[in-house]
Amino acid sequence: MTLSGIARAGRVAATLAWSFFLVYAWMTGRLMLIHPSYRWLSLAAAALLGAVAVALLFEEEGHAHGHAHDEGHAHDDACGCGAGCQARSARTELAFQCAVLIPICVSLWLGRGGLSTQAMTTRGVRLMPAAQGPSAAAPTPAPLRGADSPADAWVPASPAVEEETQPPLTLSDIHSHLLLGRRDELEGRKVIVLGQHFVDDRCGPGEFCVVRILVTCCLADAEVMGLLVKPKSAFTPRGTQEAMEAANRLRLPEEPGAMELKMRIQEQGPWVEATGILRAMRDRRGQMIYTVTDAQVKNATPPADILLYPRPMMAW
Amino acid sequence: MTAFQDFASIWLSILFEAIPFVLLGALVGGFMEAMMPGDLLRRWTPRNPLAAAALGAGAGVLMPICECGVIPVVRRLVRKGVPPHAAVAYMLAAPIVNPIVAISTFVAFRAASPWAVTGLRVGLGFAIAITAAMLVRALAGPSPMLAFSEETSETPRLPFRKAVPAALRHAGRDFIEITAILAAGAAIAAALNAWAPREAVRGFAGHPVAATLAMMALAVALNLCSEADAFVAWGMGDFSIASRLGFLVLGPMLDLKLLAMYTRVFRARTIAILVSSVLLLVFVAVLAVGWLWPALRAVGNPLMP
Repeated sequence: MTLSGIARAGRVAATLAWSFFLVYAWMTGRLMLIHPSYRWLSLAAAALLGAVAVALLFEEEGHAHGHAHDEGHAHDDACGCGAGCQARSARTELAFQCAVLIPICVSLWLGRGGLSTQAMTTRGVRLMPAAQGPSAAAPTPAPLRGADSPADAWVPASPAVEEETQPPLTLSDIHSHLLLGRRDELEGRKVIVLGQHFVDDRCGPGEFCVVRILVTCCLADAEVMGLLVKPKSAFTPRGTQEAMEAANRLRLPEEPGAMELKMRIQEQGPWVEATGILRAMRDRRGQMIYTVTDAQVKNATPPADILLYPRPMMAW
Repeated sequence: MTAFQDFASIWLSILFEAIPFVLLGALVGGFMEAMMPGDLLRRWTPRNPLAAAALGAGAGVLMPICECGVIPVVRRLVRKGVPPHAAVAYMLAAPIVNPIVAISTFVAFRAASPWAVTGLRVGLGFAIAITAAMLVRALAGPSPMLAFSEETSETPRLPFRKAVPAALRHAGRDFIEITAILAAGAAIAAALNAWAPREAVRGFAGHPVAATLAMMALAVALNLCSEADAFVAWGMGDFSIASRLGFLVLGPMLDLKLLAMYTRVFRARTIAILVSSVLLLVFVAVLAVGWLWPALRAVGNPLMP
């Protein structure tokens, strides 16, 4: 079989491989990496690629000269460019065909995929802002609160209006409200937020953030967003407790493996559910953010799809 | 392992998102190649270069294709006799001036000057596409601009039953070639997206010039879809609207995966001119918008002062 013949067969194989893979990705949940409203496009693409593969399969030999379109002449079926050019362009085409198969192999090896807790730190966790623009930040950072003075964080806000008749808001609802500029409807509302437990320097003693990864289009635009939570009573999430106990069993913090063990347990990203009242408050960096106050917190099971897909267009 | 999983997940997500649009672009290009008479587009294109570039940029409204799908279409357009500078204008403008992107920008900035932001994004996209195309035409000189022969493809007219399979075969070849290059560009983009600390750019938010440069760098590095990038820009409330416009206008014109895909249409010298022109024009335009923003906001946003 000539190189041109192999390249011709490779064209059919590569298009068919992507066609089958897109269907397989849909069936196995791999398409969770993109927003649900775009997933049907992958299935449509799979069907069209099947049609393209059939057309390529019945390509006549004379038409299958396999130019990579960069050989210095037009894409003309009767170019008569000679065996040397044919072989060179076939090799280029084979390289392209191998390259398009690499993502399929990586996905089969990787499984469903997703972002780790480490990626959250790299991306930065954005707490839901209670004001937009430079006014969201205090002119000078607010002083750090002591453990015994949590009330320092309170800022004058509208009187607490608890609307018992309205259903509790979720993280997705709060995101939609912020997007639509309906901040005035958030203050004092009851919220139930499910997400991963996350702690950084914005949290005071006993406080933590509940965060979710929001995907607008695909994982490349994923943002880690969340709310600061002030629990009503002390709360230690499941994974952290295990990490603390495991770390305590080690004699020295510097003992080999101690840090790796802590990190491995932290990687599991404990899931929690917090129920409380939403208030606009300043965090320890002086930013105005929404905070779940008087929160009752419990350990929770991660949902089937850990990503959150806001529907901004629908909200509009 | 965790770091690789983050990278691979983002890489695959970019490809899952882009593949249908690349295929759509390849199919449009394939049908154009198989069914459109060779001299039709050449006859339709104005002889005046500026008018041709303006028509190319305006075609983005009528033939809306996102940045991933536009490359195969542009390859076929130039093969069919469209002047390269008109094709450049279409390539740069189409992912910005199309109605879907305008609506998503309006929705994303609904709470903060939506008319002004949407109008400026579309207007700057259109103007910069035309200006960059004219600069490419002027600076590239008589040297060949394309990565392939500039001879026009004169496909013989085929009966419909033969033209459809021929179009699909053209699309198949283009799909494989563009997807291979896209995968390479997306891999670099995914590595930056996964591993570069995004929070670091927030430190530049306070200074107009540094903020503009930081947002432009972010647009090139993140490789977001033009339909979704407005929502990410909306979330970057620390940055001024002007610097966020830099992100919104530059991203659909130039990012790492697009840079890789440009190599399938243009020669290296043409790409260098194109990239420098776009970067410079966006930077200057954004600084001007930042300076004029109070007035623009008042004019462009009468309903939401």
